[in-house]
Amino acid sequence: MKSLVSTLSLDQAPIGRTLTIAATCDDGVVARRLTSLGWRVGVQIQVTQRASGGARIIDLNGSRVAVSRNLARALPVEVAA
Amino acid sequence: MSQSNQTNTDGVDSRRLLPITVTPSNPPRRDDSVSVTLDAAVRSESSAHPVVSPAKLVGSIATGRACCRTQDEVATGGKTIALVGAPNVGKSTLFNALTGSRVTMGNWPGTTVEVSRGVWRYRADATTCDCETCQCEPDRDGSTLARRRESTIIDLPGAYSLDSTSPDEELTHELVAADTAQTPDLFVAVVDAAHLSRSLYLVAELREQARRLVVAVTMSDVARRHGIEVDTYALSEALGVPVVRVDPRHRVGLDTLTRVFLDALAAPIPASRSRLSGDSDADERFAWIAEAVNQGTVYKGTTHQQFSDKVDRFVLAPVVGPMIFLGVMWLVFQITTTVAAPLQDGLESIVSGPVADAATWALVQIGLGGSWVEGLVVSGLISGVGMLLSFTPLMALMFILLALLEDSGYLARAAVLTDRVMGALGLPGRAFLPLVVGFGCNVPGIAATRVLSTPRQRLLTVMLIPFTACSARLTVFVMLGSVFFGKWAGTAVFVMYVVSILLVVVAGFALRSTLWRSMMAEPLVIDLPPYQVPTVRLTCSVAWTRLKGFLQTASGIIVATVVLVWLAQAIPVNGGVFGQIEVEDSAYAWLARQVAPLFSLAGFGSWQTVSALVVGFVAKEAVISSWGQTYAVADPDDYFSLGQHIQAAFETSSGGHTLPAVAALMIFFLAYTPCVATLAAQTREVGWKWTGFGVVMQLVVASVMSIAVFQIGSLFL
Repeated sequence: MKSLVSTLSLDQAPIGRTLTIAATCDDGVVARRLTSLGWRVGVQIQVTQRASGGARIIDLNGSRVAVSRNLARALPVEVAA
Repeated sequence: MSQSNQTNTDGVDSRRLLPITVTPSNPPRRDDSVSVTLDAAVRSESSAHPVVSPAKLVGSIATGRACCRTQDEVATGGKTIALVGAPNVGKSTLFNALTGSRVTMGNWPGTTVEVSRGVWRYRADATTCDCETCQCEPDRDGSTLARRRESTIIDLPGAYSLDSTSPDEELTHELVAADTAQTPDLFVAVVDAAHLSRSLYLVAELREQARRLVVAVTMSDVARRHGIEVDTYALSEALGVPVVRVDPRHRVGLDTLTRVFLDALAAPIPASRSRLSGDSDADERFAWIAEAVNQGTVYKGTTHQQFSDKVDRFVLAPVVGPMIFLGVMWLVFQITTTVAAPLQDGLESIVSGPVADAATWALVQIGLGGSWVEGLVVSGLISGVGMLLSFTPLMALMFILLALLEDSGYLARAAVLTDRVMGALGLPGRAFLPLVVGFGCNVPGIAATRVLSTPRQRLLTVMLIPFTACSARLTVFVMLGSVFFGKWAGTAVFVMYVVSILLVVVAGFALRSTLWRSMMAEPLVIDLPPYQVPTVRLTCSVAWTRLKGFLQTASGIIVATVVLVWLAQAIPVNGGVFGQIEVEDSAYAWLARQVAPLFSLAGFGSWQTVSALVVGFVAKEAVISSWGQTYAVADPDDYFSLGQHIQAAFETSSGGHTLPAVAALMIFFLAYTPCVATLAAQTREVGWKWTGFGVVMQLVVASVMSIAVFQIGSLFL
């Protein structure tokens, strides 16, 4: 059976669903910072919470990382349909 | 703590102690002194049998003799150990635990990166002894011979990787990559057991260099709560370096760490890790890390809903979160103002009361009563020291609060909550805290800029804090407001606060669009460490180190300024005896008269007002009493009689446009250098060059604004 996968930006991702990181961001400095926190293509994450002000809290390798809403818009993730 | 206790609380199995320190890169050497000690250490832990003949345990409790050689002496003495690791992994906590308060903080030569250096004192087991009659220091239970030794430990700034995206990471990168005299002999990578894969990225990079490396695993208790158990033995095998579990917050594992340090220092420099070809740098490292984590950790059960997540449901929630944040900020503000105030007043009254009286009495006894010496000692030195001391409880409270906020994990949440609002001003979310504190008092506000992650953000915020209207300035605003604006006094004071906020915003934009054009608003990516209960010992130790740093810098600046002002007021210009003249006849008043015409454009060009500005530079709290002194008013708190004098002076200096002139003066009070203690705090944080730049910037802003207010205002009023 063919599984359906849709790509959306992190800020659109539903809370609590398992997501797969589809790409990193273009900004070199931010990309390096994300990489050092464990953000790389193929890693599975979850959005645990939408914080006040729009930041997304994600579960990345068991730790919690807050990502501003603007940055979340630029980060593509995949979600199994 | 005895070593057998250590073994239990540390969670390190004594059977595994030997393999932990003997790894593929640090192979066993049965025939040399190191392995002898390792065996001895294991034996003494497991059986507590003496390993040294009792016949040798004769002698002094001094530092031992050269005939007793310790492991680190096998190579050479005077080693340097550098602690590296990501932020929030307990690196500085480990540093404090190893060094106690024997710490100096300062910039790394040629950089703006602040590093702490400390002395690590430890007892090294004597591995060989060829004395006729041994005088090495016996252990407490008489089982081993030991000598007291010292090494330098450097606490490098937090860095996630060696990719140099900031000056902090750049420094770590240089120290690791280049072979210089400054290259540390041993690197200790502090890693977080709860976030092992992330922490190991730096280890992966360090292993690509031929450096002595020890991995210290912290936060094992947090990891255990997440269902993760780190197997230090397996992890050590996978990483190819010694791995030790430590809990610096409770000083557990430090003895084991000491032994591992000594082993590593005595061992030859291990070869660097050979890279697997094919993948890109980062992918290869992640693959290596994934393998190490796989081997080195055991998952016990599923990760349950974490306590931190539950707390964050409230702390980061849309409406409740900001309310909790405002509550915390209110508490910080209250503590640094209302709670600190009685302590400050108490200390100051002790100095200006009993201490000053005792000094006066002593001077009278030796025949110097009423002389200039009394003036210098009591009005100069002692009042300067009193002023410095009055800031001590305030700063101590501020540093304790900072340490609590950082250690508990709340600060990272506060940064998330304020990111959007502060981002609109081009500042990071964390800048909220120093600015809020600044409205209470600028001095602890500047100290609170340490919560900011990059030196540039810190510098920008330090430049902006003097524009926040502190409570000392409020006293001046209230007095001028009630004298000149009557029932509109409250509105006048409120306008000052609005102008203060506008100044912060406008100056922030101005600085970022001129000096720091490359400083983009960085998008928020922040790690939220799990909440934890701050430990008293750590909080106090961090607060004390910071307080000591402040006092070291501030003491000279504050005392010197107070003495200088006294001196200017003591030098006669119209005849009279040095130290026994009215302020009006002093060099101070003469200087004020020379400068006064410059302020006539702003409508307050009288020497009394200008001299109040100078006093305000020393301390805003002193402005009203000094005005009283200048106008010879008996009770300066009696605003009515003082007000009449000031009103008369303003009518003359402003040519009848009193209100615009007063408004201009209030603006000037708001915008120019807050006080000498602020300068001391700024010098401490960003150095005297930037402090000087700040002073000039504030004077320009204050002058331009006050002239504009008077010139425009006098067209209408």
